[in-house]
Amino acid sequence: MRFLVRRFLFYLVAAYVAITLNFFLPRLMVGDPVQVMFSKFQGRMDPRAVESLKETFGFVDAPVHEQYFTYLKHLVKGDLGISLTNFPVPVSEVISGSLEWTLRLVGIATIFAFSIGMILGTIAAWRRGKFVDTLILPIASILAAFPYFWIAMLALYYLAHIQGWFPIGHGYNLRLKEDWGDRAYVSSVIEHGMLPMLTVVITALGGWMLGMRNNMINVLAEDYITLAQAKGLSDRRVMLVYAARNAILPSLTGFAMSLGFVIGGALIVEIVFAYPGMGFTLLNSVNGRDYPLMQGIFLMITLSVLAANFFADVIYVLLDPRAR
Amino acid sequence: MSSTPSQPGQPAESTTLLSVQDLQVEYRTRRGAVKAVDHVSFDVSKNEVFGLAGESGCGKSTAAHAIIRILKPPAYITGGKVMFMGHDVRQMNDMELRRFRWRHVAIVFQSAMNALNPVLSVGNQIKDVLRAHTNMKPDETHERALELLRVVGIDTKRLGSYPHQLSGGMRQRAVIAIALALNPEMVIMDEPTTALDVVVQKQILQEIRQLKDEFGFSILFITHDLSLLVEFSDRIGIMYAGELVETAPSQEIFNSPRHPYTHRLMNSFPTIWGARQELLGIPGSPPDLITPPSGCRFHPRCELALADGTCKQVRPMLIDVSSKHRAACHLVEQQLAVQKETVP
Ligand SMILES: Nc1ncnc2c1ncn2[C@@H]1O[C@H](COP(=O)(O)OP(=O)(O)OP(=O)(O)O)[C@@H](O)[C@H]1O
Ligand SMILES: [Mg+2]
Repeated sequence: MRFLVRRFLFYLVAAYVAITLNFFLPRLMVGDPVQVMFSKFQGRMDPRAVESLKETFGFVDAPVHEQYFTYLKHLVKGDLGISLTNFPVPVSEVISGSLEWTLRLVGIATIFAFSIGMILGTIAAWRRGKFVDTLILPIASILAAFPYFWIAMLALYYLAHIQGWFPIGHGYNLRLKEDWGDRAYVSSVIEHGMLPMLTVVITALGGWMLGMRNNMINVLAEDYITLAQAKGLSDRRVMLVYAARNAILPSLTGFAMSLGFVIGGALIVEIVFAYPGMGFTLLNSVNGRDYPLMQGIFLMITLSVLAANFFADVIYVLLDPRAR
Repeated sequence: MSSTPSQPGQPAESTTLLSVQDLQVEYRTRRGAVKAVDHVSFDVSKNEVFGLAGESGCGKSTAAHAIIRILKPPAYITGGKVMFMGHDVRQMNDMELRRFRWRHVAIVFQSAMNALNPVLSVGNQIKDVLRAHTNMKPDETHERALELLRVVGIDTKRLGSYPHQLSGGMRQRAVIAIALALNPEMVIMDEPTTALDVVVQKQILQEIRQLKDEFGFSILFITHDLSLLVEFSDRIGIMYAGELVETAPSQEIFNSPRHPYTHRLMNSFPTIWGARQELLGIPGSPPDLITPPSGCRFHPRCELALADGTCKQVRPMLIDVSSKHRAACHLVEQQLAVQKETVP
C-alpha cells in the first residue's frame, strides 16, 4: 500500500512537470511563431485564432506567472485553447471526438493482442518443440518482424480493394448519421473497424507472444515448477498458477505502457485506413500547423502514459506479493 | 569432543522400500552423452536413512530425480530398474506416477530457496498438494496446513506469508512441511541444508531426525559433506563420477573406509561436531562424464592404483567386503583374495 501511495505521488509530480513544460516550451521558441504562421495563412486567419495562438505562445500583455495561472485554470476546466484547423472548435472537443474512435479501435485491439499473445505464448512454451509450438513460433516471428504499415496496406489492398470484403477507409459509412441507436450505423462502425483492428492485433501479437514464450521457458526451468509437478498437481494448475502467473509479470509493464500509448492512436494504421482517431488527428494537426491541437494531444498522451504506468504498478502489486 | 559419530537412532528394519537396480541416466548434449548415473544399485529399507555422498557433479541429484522420474530432457533414463514397494516406477503411466509421487515419495530440493512459488502463500502451497491428492474440505486442508507448520516449527501465523517474507531456514522448513503433507513412506532430501548457516543447519537436521522417528519415513539423504552424513544416516553410499563405489553402514564408512576415494573424501572435510583434522583433499579434478576414464574411473587420481595396469583397464565390480559392506576397487579385491588364501 505504501508503495502505491509513493508511486502515485511520484506520478502526480511527473504530471505536474509535464503540464508545466507544456506551458513553457512554446514560450522558449525563438522568433515570433505567430507572425510566421499568420503570414503563412496569408491573412485568411480569423483574428480570434490569432488571439488563441498568441495565448499559446505567450505573446500576451501579462507577466509570465499570471499567464501560467491562467493556463492552469483553463486546463482544470478542460480548456486547451482553440483548434486552428477546425476553427472555432475548441481543442478539447476535437480531441474527444477522435479519442472515442481511437479508444475503441486501438484500445480493444491492444487488449486483444496482449491476451491472445499471452495465451499463445503460454501454450507454445508449455508444449515447447511440439506441433503447436513449431507452428506458432515461425508465424509469430515473421509477424513480429513485419513492418506494420506494410501489413496495413496489404490488407487494405487485397482484402478491401481487390476482394471487397471490407470497406475502404473511414470509421463508418459517411452516408449514415452518427447515431448509436441506429443498427445500420453500429454495424457500419464494426465493419469499418475490422480491418484496422485486425492489422493492429496481428502486428502486436507476435511480440507479445514471443516475449511470453521466452519468459515461460525461463520460469519452467525453475525448481518450483519441478516441485509443483512432483507434488502431483494438475497440469492446468502448474501451467497457470505456477508458470504463467510468474511469467506474465515482466510483460505487464510493457502492456501498461502500450495501453498508455493507445491515446496517441495507431498512427500509421489510422492514416492508411483514414480512420478518424487520434493518430489521424495528430497528422492533420501537424500538417495544418495546428499548434494548440498538437500541444493538447501531446499533453493527453503524456498524462495517459503516466496513468497507465500507475495502472501497471497497481496490477503488479495485485499479482506479485514481492511488490507489496 | 569426540570425533566418533553418534549412534544412529534405531537399527533399520530389513524390509526393502526402495530398490534401485543398475540405474543408468544420461544427459544427451551436443558434445555427447553425459553418463551422469552409470549402473547404480542400492536399496533403502523402511525407516532407514540412506546417505548418498560424493563430490559435486558425481550424479547424486540426477539419481534422486530419476527415482521419482522428474528428470526433464536432455536427461534420459537409459537403463535399470527402480522398484518402490514392489512397483516398477519406470513402468508407471502418468496417473500412477502422479499418485506415487508425494503420496509415497516426496522430495526436498537441493535449492529449497527456489523451490517455492514466489507468488503463492506458503499455506496455499501446502494446501494445493492436499487438494490434489485427497478429498479434504477447505477447513480440513486448513487445519492440516497449520498442523504441518507446527510440526516443522514454523509459527502458524506464517500460513499466509509469501516465500520472500521468510528467512532461509523457514523456507527450508516450509519445503519440508510440503514434503510431509501426505505422510509419505520416503522423503528424498537433496542437500536440504547446504544453503543455510551451520547453526540453522544443525537445528534442522535434528528436527528432521525427530520427524523421522515420529512419523517413520525413510530418508534418502544426499550431500557432498560426508562427515555430516556419517552423523546423520544409517547407511551410506559413495558415488564417484556416476558410479556407486562403496556402500556400508555409516560406522563402517567412518571407521574403515575401503575405497581409496572414500578414504580421501573422509579426510577432505572437517567433521562439524568433531575435532579438526588435517585435510588431505583429493588431488586432481572429477573426470568428464562424456568420456570417463577407462577401468576404474578413479584411477587417474588414485595414488594406490596398481602398477600392472589393472585399475586402468578393468572396471571393478562392487564386491562384498563383509555382509553389509561393498566396495568397487581392485585393491580391495586383491586384499580379500589374500585373506582368503591365508585364512583357509
Ligand atoms: N542439463 C544438463 N546437461 C548436461 N549435463 C548435465 C546437466 N545437468 C547435469 N549434468 C551433468 O551431470 C552430472 C551430474 O550432475 P548432478 O547435478 O546430478 O550432480 P550432483 O552430484 O548432484 O552435484 P552437486 O553436488 O553439485 O549437486 C554433472 O557432471 C553435470 O555436469
Ligand atoms: Mg545435486
